[in-house]
Amino acid sequence: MSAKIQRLAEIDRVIHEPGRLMIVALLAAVEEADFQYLRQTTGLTQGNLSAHLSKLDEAGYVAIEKTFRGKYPLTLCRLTERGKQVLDTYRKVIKAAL
Amino acid sequence: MNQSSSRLLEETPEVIASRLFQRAHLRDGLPEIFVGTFFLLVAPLDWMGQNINGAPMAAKAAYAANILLSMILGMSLPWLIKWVRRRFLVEREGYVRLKSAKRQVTYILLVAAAIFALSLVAALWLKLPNLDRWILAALGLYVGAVWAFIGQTLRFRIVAAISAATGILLAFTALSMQLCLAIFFGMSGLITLLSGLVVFIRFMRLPIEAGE
Repeated sequence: MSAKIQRLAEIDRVIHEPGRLMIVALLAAVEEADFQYLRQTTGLTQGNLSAHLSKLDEAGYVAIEKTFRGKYPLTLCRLTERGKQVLDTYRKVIKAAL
Repeated sequence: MNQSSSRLLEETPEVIASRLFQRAHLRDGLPEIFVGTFFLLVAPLDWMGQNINGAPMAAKAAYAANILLSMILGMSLPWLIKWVRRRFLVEREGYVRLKSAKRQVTYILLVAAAIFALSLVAALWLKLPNLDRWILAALGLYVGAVWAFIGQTLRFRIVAAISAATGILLAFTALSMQLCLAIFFGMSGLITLLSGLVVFIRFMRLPIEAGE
């Protein structure tokens, strides 16, 4: 049991933050979503969401693509393979420890 | 960050995603508007069918049009909701491409069909008197349970409670089954539609916060 608890120390701190965990969890369940959808769905402020997405992008967990749909500008976000792996590991560690 | 963030560490990512999706899917009231309209279209069908013989041509045409509209709306509901959102509400709601949920939908439909079939077999086995009345009460409870399960918010619980109560109350009346079904679906459709319209109007009044 203590070994499982100790694994908590290995948890990825980038997605452990509640706001980022929310974004990653959402992106894991969709093909892709734009900034506005993530903002509406998570309830995060514009600045918070932007900062969290930058961190996830830097870590290589989320791929961000700027494009247009008609006249409407889209900032599309997708979870990368690395992001999926990290989320899976995170889930397993938390489940085993708690 | 909103207050739901404090619950995040107590939930698995799947639960978080599912909860957030559900909230996002229902926040504009469109599903309720379309389902409410569908119920209102379906409501008089059985009753009209019973009284169509000898009715004027206009009534027959209305009956046929109602059947056609109900079928089209019923089959295109998910597509219609998605189309309206992408065509008219993308600036407000944002854009999302979901993963295919066909397996999940099939599973839910199979479970629902199995529960219904088992209930019917049990009712026949028990030789319940007034089986149609039991079916009506069960229909009310079933529709109510589905609404409560899907929505998990106060407005859905109210709609669920009214639907369930209507089904149960109608089961105790002496009205014909056709009329009972018309009243049940009419009532359920009307409150669902009203609830959806109120949510939709409130949603459209929210300011658009554009930019990133």
